[in-house]
Amino acid sequence: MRLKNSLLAGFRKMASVIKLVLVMYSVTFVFSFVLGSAFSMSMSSFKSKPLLSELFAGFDYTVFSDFMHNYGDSISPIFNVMIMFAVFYLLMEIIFAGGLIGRFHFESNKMKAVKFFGFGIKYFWRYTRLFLYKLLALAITFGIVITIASVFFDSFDAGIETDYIKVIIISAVIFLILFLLLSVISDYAKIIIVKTNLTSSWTAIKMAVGFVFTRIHVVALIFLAGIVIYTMFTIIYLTIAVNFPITNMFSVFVLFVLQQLFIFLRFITKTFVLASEFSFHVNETVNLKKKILKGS
Amino acid sequence: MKKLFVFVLIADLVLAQKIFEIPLSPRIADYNIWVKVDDNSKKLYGYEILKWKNTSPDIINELHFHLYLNAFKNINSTFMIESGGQHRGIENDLNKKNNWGWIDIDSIGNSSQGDLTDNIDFIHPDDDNENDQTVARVRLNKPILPNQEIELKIKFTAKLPKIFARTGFAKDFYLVGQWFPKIGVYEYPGIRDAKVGSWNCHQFHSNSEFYADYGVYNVRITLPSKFIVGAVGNLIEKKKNSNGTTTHYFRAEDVVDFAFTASSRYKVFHDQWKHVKIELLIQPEHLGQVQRHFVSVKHAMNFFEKKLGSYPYPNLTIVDPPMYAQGAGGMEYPTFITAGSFWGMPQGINFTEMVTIHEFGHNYFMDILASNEFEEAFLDEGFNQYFETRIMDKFYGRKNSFFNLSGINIGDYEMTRSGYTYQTNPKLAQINIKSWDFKHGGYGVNTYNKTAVVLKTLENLLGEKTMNEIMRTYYSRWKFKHPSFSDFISIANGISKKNSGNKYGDNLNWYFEQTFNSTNVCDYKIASISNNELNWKLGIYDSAGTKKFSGQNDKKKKQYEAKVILHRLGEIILPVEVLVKFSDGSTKTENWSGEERSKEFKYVGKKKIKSVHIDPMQKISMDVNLINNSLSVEKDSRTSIKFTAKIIFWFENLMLFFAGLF
Repeated sequence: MRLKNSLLAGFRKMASVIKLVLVMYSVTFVFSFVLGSAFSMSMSSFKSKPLLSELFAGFDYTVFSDFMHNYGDSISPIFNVMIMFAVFYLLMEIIFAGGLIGRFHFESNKMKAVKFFGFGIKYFWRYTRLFLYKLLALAITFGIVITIASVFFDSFDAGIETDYIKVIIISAVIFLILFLLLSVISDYAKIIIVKTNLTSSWTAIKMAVGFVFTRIHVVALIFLAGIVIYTMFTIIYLTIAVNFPITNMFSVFVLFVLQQLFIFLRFITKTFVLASEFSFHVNETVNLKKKILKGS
Repeated sequence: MKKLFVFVLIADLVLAQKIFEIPLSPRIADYNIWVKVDDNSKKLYGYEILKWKNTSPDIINELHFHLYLNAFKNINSTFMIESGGQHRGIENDLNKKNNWGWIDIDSIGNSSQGDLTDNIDFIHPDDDNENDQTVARVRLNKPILPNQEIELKIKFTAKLPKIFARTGFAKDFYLVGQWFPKIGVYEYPGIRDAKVGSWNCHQFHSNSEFYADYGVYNVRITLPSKFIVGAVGNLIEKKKNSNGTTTHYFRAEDVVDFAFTASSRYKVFHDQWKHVKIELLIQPEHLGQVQRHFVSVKHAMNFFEKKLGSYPYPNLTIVDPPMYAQGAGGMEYPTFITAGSFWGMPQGINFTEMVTIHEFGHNYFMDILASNEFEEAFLDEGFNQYFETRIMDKFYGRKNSFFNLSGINIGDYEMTRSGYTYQTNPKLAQINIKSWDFKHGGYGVNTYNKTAVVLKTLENLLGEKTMNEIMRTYYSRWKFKHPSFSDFISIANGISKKNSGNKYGDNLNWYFEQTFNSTNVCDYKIASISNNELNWKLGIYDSAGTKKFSGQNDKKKKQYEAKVILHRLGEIILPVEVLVKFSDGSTKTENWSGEERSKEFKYVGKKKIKSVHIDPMQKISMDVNLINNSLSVEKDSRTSIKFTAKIIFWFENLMLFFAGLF
């Protein structure tokens, strides 16, 4: 019941901030478009090379490899810029998260973008510290998993590939579970910071850990619901995209629209999970207060 | 005891089952070998009777032997110095004593020559490395006269290295190659390009493979009964001994080498292709790929039969080494090849097929055409690579024969070509040099990739029919002999002249000189296209005593000087076709000898040039940049837009991935 209520409330909250989701998607699109335009400009001198048209309808390894070998340097700087943009975008994500949870907490239906970004900036440093803690935890987790895996690797003393593959798969699954756990804790820590106006990210993390582990089954199921939805969207997208024939510019356009729809749905899913987590936290703390009041 | 041994030996030799009624080869070096494998110490205890025939007109005073396993004796061998203790990226842990290998001749001689053991010394014909012990010279007490035979009894002990370069052991797996004292090839005028008689017996180098004479091998291998054994030739007999060992007796005729494998983990499968019994020794974790081995090798057998000649031997053994013995994979011995597969390899990745086809092809280019792999490695590896790409592309699809997954497709020839064209410095070395002269790299790419690309370009120029005739003639004329590159050239010249007259000049030497004997590259480029309007009526004209002004042209009479300028950027000169497409839809094919550094084609008329393509059929695939071979007046933005859309999408996903870290 708690799960169902949280998901329903999460969905309603997500629907109420759909414009903000659109804003976040738009910012992402603009970032990508700037980079795409730079790529397009660098390709302009090749538009008079008929052989490159072979790459329009499908993949041609000979054309691709000759192009990359002889002219790859002209487009490779874009990929370096891409990484820098992505790091910058991470900072934007910290602002988005603050804005979004601020919006959930203060329930302002007529919230403007200015206020949204205002919340984002208000919580920016606390969230940045939270992010650094998470990054550190991830690095430690990764190090532990790799160390254990390498102990197994060494013990094989030149084994067959299935031995190695088993260790790789098990290690990857363990790391993924721990990564997801850290992400869930991080989400609830973000919520706690906004709800309690805590200035210490570390305290928020400790509170989030307590919250998550006392309700692990519901917390996990909420997060799992998000993963299931995201996986479903991905499968649908890939099924269409892999079999989508690129025959003319219209088909390029249709596929592009499909891709953008997929990205937008990723934002929707992400917001839905965060909203559900927020709702769950609200309900749980209200219930806790009621219990305390009853007890007194 | 000694008498009993002699009796058993004679009985064995008499009873030895013949494979071929009429010998296929000259059978210069015949070996009878008894070898015991000690599974604990990884040592071989061997006894070898070598019968060598002096087919030369010279008097032979010394014999040269390969002792290949001494390449793995210490870090001062030529092989270890050149390789740095690795082979094809696989390293050996040199700090473990058991990982090293060596071979000793304990005794050598016969009743006529006496004991020759003290007459052995190590020589190093290729370098000044006095520490290298991979070639031994045995000075004879009595010379061997022309047409005389010598029979030597050789007792030897060898220690196998941990496998990293073809041969050795790895846990319970053995691939035993280059393991016994093996006589070199005595070359004399008439054999390859020899001017005088001399031993051709090179040291074991990091890059090089091998060179040997034909012979008959009778080899008895004794090892613990738990092992499943495969080897060159036919299994004649398998006999269990009272001490828990089994002796496996193999006989091979008209081959240049002998190797064997043993492992207790093998699963054995059989199949048949015409007269050939195919045996597959595969790892249990690779059972899902049994048919991939059989199907691909049968494709190769069919192709080689049609293009060169039928596989002459009655059997073929395919060995699938485990992952921990990858260094043994992808190697060839007569009638015995090692392939390579990995657990879970998807159908869209034809790696197993590629390796199997490639290694099988060596039966033709290494064994039946026993070229000198030390000095002319490309005659084996490169010619075989050319055939591998033809077979792969024919049976698995030209554009996806190697890789076909998730919309990405790569043909085997395409991959081979890009291996050559994608080099940072394609001028690093030429194809036709001795394998150890590739001192700063380039052995693999020149010997395999560039040779295949150069042969494919030749096929495209001469036509597939002529190329097939050249290869078939080369094969039929030189099978079971030692061909050299000059032998191939003379055949190519003759057939090209017969089929094409003087189209390519008196001979094809110009082609082979530029491609095999130089580091030059081929690169043609379209520098520019221009369509200039001819304002032939613009200006003042005298007409009946008056000066009349003529303005813009009459559109109907509008004329253009359409011009295309071509550049030759590389040093290689090849005749090329140039396809010019005009605005009215018509086309014109020009022929350019390629000799000039730049060339201009000009057209005056009503039509403009729309696009120009050098070598439109992509015959000259050795051209290192095909993108600059075509140019169009009209710009096509479709590809650019398509990839821009992709970049936007990929970047959005990348950003969301980064965002997921928070």
